[in-house]
Amino acid sequence: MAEILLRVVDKTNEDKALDAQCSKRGDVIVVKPDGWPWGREELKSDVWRIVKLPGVDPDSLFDLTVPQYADGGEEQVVVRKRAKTLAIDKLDSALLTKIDEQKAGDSKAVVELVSKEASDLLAQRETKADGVVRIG
Amino acid sequence: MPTTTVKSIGSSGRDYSTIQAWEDACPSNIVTSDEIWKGECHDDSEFVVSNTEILTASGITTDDTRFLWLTTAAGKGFADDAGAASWNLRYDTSVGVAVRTTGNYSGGFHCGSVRVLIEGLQIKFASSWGNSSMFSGSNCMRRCLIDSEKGNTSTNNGRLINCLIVDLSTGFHHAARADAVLIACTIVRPSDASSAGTAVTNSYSLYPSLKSCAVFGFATNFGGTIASYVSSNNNASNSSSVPGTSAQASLTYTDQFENTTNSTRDWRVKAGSSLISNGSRHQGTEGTFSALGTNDLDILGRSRSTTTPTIGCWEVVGGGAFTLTADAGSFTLTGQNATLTRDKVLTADAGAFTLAGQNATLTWGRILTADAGSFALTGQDATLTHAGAGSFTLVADAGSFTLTGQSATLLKTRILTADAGSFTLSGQSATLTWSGEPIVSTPREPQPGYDWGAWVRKLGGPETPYDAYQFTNRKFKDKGNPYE
Repeated sequence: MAEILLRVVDKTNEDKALDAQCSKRGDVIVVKPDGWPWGREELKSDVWRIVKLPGVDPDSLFDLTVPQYADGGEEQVVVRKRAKTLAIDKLDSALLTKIDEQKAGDSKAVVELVSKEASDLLAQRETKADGVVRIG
Repeated sequence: MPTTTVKSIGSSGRDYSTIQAWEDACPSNIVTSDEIWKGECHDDSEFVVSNTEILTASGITTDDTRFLWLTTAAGKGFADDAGAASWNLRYDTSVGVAVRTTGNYSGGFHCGSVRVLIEGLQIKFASSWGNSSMFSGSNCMRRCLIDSEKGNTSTNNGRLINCLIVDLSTGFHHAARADAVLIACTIVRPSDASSAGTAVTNSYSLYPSLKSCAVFGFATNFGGTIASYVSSNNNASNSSSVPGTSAQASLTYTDQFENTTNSTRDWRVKAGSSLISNGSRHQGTEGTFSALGTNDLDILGRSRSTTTPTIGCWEVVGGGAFTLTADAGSFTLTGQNATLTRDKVLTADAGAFTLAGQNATLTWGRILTADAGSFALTGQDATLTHAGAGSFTLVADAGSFTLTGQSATLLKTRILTADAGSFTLSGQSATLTWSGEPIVSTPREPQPGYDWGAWVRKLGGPETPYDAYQFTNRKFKDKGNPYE
């Protein structure tokens, strides 16, 4: 079973090039195996969800944590924090609400899905648009 | 003055459990908020990063004084223990925070234009494939220990200061290239590893700056054209051609470090090494993140010589001599006994030698020796004090015990006692000389009754009247009470 740290609120920067490099809603920040000892700020976050995905091998999710690099050049320049995303706004409303809603307490960011919900979420895996980022 | 926002990172109830989450939580403009975003790693467990990068820093506005600072919590780094200087210098999860990549396509630190200072970490690249770039972009790695087992290790245009880079990979790899700046780094490939790799090299017309770096053991230590490393000086290598001025070339690899083989590696600088005192100090502003240009502290955070530092990440403190000091006050040795190895000499400076505070104990069976000839105690008298219950015995070996030179004097009021029973003086006669109170005698036989004004004399002296009474034939009495 896998657990992911999923961003649900866009991170923004007033600089357009830097804004494109910020993590966005649906980006997976971290993939960890079942039972991971998440930190205090992660467990009660307003901008992330810790989504528990039963029956999902963590190794099948690591493509979601790969940045998108600019083509060419000696240095791999990050143009987007993540090349792929989970298009969570395309989920049915019940599952979307389950992910978006905040609970009370110190673990309010934790969302436990059943297998069907995990499959539905991962079905929204998308590669972001081309590597060209408009900066003006 | 920026505010430093400190967050803990670790696997035991910290703020964040991963380095990447710590970065993602950073505000997107810390120049505006005027802060340093500091992550302090704890050694709750080894940080293992599988099939992804350790850190991708992007989308954050920073500058040279408002930046991300990834380091260890107080006391949690490999350099923090008081005994760190005596440990083998190599990746060791038991001595402090350690970060390791694993899996197939794991990467290092990608920071782009984001200013990131990475300090005091142990980092091992052990993923099977792919790019293990330890960092790129406008960041600075300071006092880190980097161990690359696989993949491509490189930095393109970042800055490394006082770092150790050990490379065991067999593919295309290099420690640094392009316009990277390396100051006081040790870049080595174990001496028993297969010949491979390029330690530092160029990228087209861009060459790294190497200053006070030690580079040993690669198939090619310096790629490109040596003369093109124009911003380099005081480097050392086993290569015959070394970039920059004041170079130490054609050195014997194994003579420079404590242990250069893979399984027992220890990259501390060996006594007698040509690296010692041949380095240079840098307070430079080369490259990006220029505020962090000093190499005044070595990989353990110890002060370097500001005139003749050791080449590489390890400073040989004091040029080979070591000083054992204790703070004023108490000096406590606990746990194991401290051993002064035989044939080593404990010396004191000429002049006064003071033992203050606690009593020093000479344990039974230990021998205090003096050179043949004279043994002088000067200044104050040496006192043998009798303390506590029981008796203490000062003995000499069986056989003869000789006091020569001056007469030994037993001072007045001291008592020479013998045990009950027999007391034997053998060999020469012992003479007890009396030179104190008068000894009395009479010029004639004592008469019954008492007599006035008996004559007394000191032995060996003239007779003088003694104002006392002789009573009967036994003894003198004070004249004030002749009948008692």
